[in-house]
Formats: sequence, structure tokens, C-alpha cells
Amino acid sequence: MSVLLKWFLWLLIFIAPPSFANDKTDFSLTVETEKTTSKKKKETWWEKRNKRTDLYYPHNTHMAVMEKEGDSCFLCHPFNANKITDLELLKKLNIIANEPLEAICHECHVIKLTAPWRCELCHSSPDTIWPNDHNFDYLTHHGEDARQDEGKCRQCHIDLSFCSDCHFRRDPVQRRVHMLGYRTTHGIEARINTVSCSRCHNAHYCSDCHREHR
Amino acid sequence: MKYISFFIIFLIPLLVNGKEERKIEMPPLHHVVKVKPPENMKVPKEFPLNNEGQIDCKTCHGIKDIEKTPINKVNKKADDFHRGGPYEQLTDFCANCHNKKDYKRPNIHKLLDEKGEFDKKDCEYCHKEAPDLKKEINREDLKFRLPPQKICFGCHLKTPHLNALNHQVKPDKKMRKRMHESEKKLGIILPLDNEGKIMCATCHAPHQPGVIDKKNPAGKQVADTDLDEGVSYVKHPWNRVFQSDKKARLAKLSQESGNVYSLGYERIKTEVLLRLPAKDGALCQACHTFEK
Repeated sequence: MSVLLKWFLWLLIFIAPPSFANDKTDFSLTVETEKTTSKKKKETWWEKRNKRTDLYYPHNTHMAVMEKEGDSCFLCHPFNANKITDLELLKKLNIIANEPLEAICHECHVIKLTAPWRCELCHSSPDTIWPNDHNFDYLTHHGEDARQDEGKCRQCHIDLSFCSDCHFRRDPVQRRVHMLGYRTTHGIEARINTVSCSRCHNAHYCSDCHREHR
Repeated sequence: MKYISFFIIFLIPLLVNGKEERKIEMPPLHHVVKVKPPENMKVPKEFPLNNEGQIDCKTCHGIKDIEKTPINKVNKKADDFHRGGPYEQLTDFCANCHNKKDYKRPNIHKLLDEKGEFDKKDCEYCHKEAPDLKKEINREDLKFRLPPQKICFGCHLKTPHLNALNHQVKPDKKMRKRMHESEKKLGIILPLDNEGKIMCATCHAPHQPGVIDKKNPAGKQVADTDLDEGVSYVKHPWNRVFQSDKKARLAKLSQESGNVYSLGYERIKTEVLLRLPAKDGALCQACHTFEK
């Protein structure tokens, strides 16, 4: 009986190593993955703050302005008195208090225009703020939206030159909308649908030339 | 003998428990009941005493038949759980009968008398014995009654202001280096706790100016300290912007938790017991630095 047991043990030792070895490799892998996940879990919003690529926020530039205005870090990161003792709730409240969103940023950059107002300065990737309706055909239909709520356009297109660059354009060399030689045939389309011309051109645009030829 | 020991081991505890169950269960730190309020105390008419003129459940609680309701089934969130409620603070409820001034804690930070001297006994509020200020003091000589990171919590909350909780962590190597640089440059101390974590005393100077010599880095603190006025604020137009930024998120949080929360902004006018001024960001910048 003992001989049989010995043989069985020997067999186990010889057969088992490869599977143990595999187990070991698997185990080390799990340990590594666990390490990485625990690292990921431990990383707080504070540690991640410099890795954000969707928004550019230069603290030092803002600090210089705040010093000038007599303001401090508390403008965005308040240390208000607190009576809440539920730590989980307090964590949530802290995040809300600490993270300024659109209303705070846009107050100076969009509404008051006391700060630079080019969208791409802060929104490095335009995809993150690109409106859904601004598709390939939007250029043709943008006027309808603009007439309904010009303020909505102005949220992003703050500089009026964005409109006037096209709407008051007098440069005959660079043509953006019409094909070459359109000047010769434009009268036909103007007679068929004058409204379509007036989407971009005001009356002066026509009369400036047509008056001369009378 | 067997029967006697059986009786002692099993039956006596049963009898004792049975007797205890008949008592009214009280939550910990509950106000004493079935006692007559002292003669000099004016209990408002809205707070009815029992037939014997004693304080009873219905004196303080407006909930119907509360004395017959098991504690775990009492709606503690009901407005009238504390008569006349809801109250912002429990102490506001207590003040219906008790005089708030009688229970006001002394401001232990206010150590100096009119002559600018302090009583060494006051030091023993936090220190086991008053450190000898004439000698060079090491951290070990301070002999705190509690570990320094816990000593403030006897009177203050662990989170007395927003962002307190997320500051009570171990700063990384880069920040520690920055802190040491600031200590040297500005002639202050930014002490960490025994585990190397940021604690209240890292930013707050617990002693009234003048207790520790100003030349001593531990004694250097904000100049406009007035312990009677404390921290004071002035209204600021940024509050409108700040509130509109938080409005939607606070509404969501309030909906989730069932309580209403609000956040606002007021500009600091005066500040007390800080190692550096916070109102101009100097205190923050002693530790925080930004690449861009």
C-alpha cells in the first residue's frame, strides 16, 4: 500500500510541474493586472487633471489675471464652511464645487469677452463642441437658424467677422460658393429665385454694379 | 448542584434580559426623560410636559404616539420629529429651553489676555504640559494629548470646510519638495502629521499671534487676525456666475440624496489663524505649482 502511495506521489511530482508553472505565469499576470487596475482605481480626478486633452486650462495665466483683479483660487475652488458629515456625500459636493464648467469659463471668455474668445484656445479638439446640425449642407441653411436665434450662433461665432467675411465679401478673385464664370450667368438664377441670392447678398451688392451699367 | 448551576447559567440572564426589554430603549446620548425641568428654565408652551410636570417623549417630539412606536420605526426625518422643526442645527432645537450662551465653548485659540500674556494652563487644553517657549522646541517636546492630526476634531469637524477632506492626504515627492522650498523662502512651517499627511495645522496656525515669537517660523501667520471677528466675507458679483455653474449639478445631487444643497461665492474679507493668506492664493501656492 505504501509502495503504491509512493508511486502515486512520484507521478504527481513529475506530471504536475508544467501545470504549476502555467499557473504561476497566470498568477503573475493576474497580479500585474490587479496592480494596474488598483493603480487605475487609486488615480483621483486630481491626479488625472493634467492628462485631460479635451480642455486646455493654463492655471498660471489665470492666476496672473486673478492677482490683478484681487481674486484667488477660491473663485473656482471654494473652501466654504461645511456641516455635512457624510463623507461620500461630501466627496460628491466637493467635486461639484471644485470643477468649473461652461458657466464659469464662458462668463469671461464668451459673455463679458474680457478674456480671449477663440474656442480652439481651450477646446483643443473641435469635435467635442461641434454642434450636431452643423453637417455638410449647413452652409446652405445656416441663415434660417441665424434669423431665428442669432444669439445661439454667437455662443461660438463670437467675432462678427465670421459672418461678414462672407456676407460683405467683395473679393472677386477668391470664389467660395459660386463656380467660375458665375458672374456671366448669375442673372438667370437671380430672375428664377431672387430670394436665394438674398440669403447671402444684400441689395447693395447688386446695385453697386447694376447702377453703373444703367 | 447540577440544577442550581443550570438555573444560574441559563435562567438568570433570561430573567434579566426580560426585565431590560420592558425598559424604554433610548438612542445613545439621548436627553434624559422623566425629570422635572429646573425652576429657572422656561419650557415653551408648545413643548408639553407630562401630567407630573416631567419631560417626556411628547415634550420634544411632535410625532403621534411616539412612546408606543419602536425606535427603528420612528420617522426621524419628519419635520415635527423635533417639535417646531426642521432645524438647521440640533442645537437650535435645544435652545428652545436652554440658553445657548451658557453652553458656548471657550475659544481656546484666544490665549492672550489684555496684557498680552497667556496662562500656561490654557496650553494644557491640547498639550499634556506647556512647552517651554524659551528653549528650542522639537516636535517631540510638544507632547500633544492626541496625535496632532486628530487634536482639532475634539471641537471642529474633520471636514469643517469644503476641500478639507481631499487635502488630508500624503503629498507626493514633488509637492513635498515645493513645500520645503516655501518653508525656507517664506519663513513658515507647513507641518505634516506622523504619517506624512497634510493635517489642519499644515495650513492653520493654532496659536493666537503673539504666543509664539514672530521670528519663529511656527509663529508666523496672517497679519489681519482678529479672533473675535474670525473669518469674514463680503458679497461679490461672482456669486451669480458661481451659482449658475453649479445649479444643475446641485439639483441632481439634491434629488438623489433627498436634501437641498447650495453653493455660493463670497470674497474673503478677513482671515484668522492661517500660516499664509489664502485670500490672495499665497497659501495655496506654497504647495501647488503648475506647469502651464
